[in-house]
Amino acid sequence: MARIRVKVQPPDEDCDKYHVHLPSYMMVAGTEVYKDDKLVSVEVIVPDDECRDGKPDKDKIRQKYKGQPRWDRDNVLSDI
Amino acid sequence: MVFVARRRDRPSELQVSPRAEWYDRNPNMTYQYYHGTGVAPHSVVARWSYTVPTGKKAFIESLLIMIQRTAVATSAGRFRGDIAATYPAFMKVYNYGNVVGSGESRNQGYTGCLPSGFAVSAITEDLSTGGTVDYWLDMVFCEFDA
Repeated sequence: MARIRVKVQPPDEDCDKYHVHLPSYMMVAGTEVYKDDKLVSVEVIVPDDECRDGKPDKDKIRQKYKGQPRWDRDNVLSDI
Repeated sequence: MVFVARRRDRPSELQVSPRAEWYDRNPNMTYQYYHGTGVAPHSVVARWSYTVPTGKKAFIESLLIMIQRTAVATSAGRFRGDIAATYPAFMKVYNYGNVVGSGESRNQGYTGCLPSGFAVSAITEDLSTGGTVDYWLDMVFCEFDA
């Protein structure tokens, strides 16, 4: 498991809640950073088989979720 | 392992499949969890998310949600925890109490099998002003070859 700080996405047309744009993650309680009452970043735990050198890896994620439109795309990590 | 079943139309004959049972197809017991203590009011947050990898399925062994107020709010609102697939919730608990210790808990086993690409999230929300709540949202599941 890799523990990293990532951006939190606000609710939008795809997702009606604050979320992290990763297929599988667990937020670490107490690491939330708020700015103007909006949750902007948090530390998350990401599975080892989606990481390289302790960071989410685009190729590994695309391979693991091959054929799933939300994750098998070139800019999959652009919102992290 | 060989799967053996009796045919319905001919109960005296056995039907044999060379395919292993799901729990013998590269099983991987794993989990997702969020344990937040003294969490202040907030809008809806996906505390964890899990997507079933391609070529896999996942059998949910256990779900647990516990929410409990740990500090009195100035103005109490609903606080809740959900484990859900986008909108339909597998499990949902909520409470409006403003006494320390008020809350809900629910536990459920063998919820079902998730197909490849299916996503599940754990959600918390507290509409109060002031005060804090503890949250536990856990899922234990077994991932296996589809």
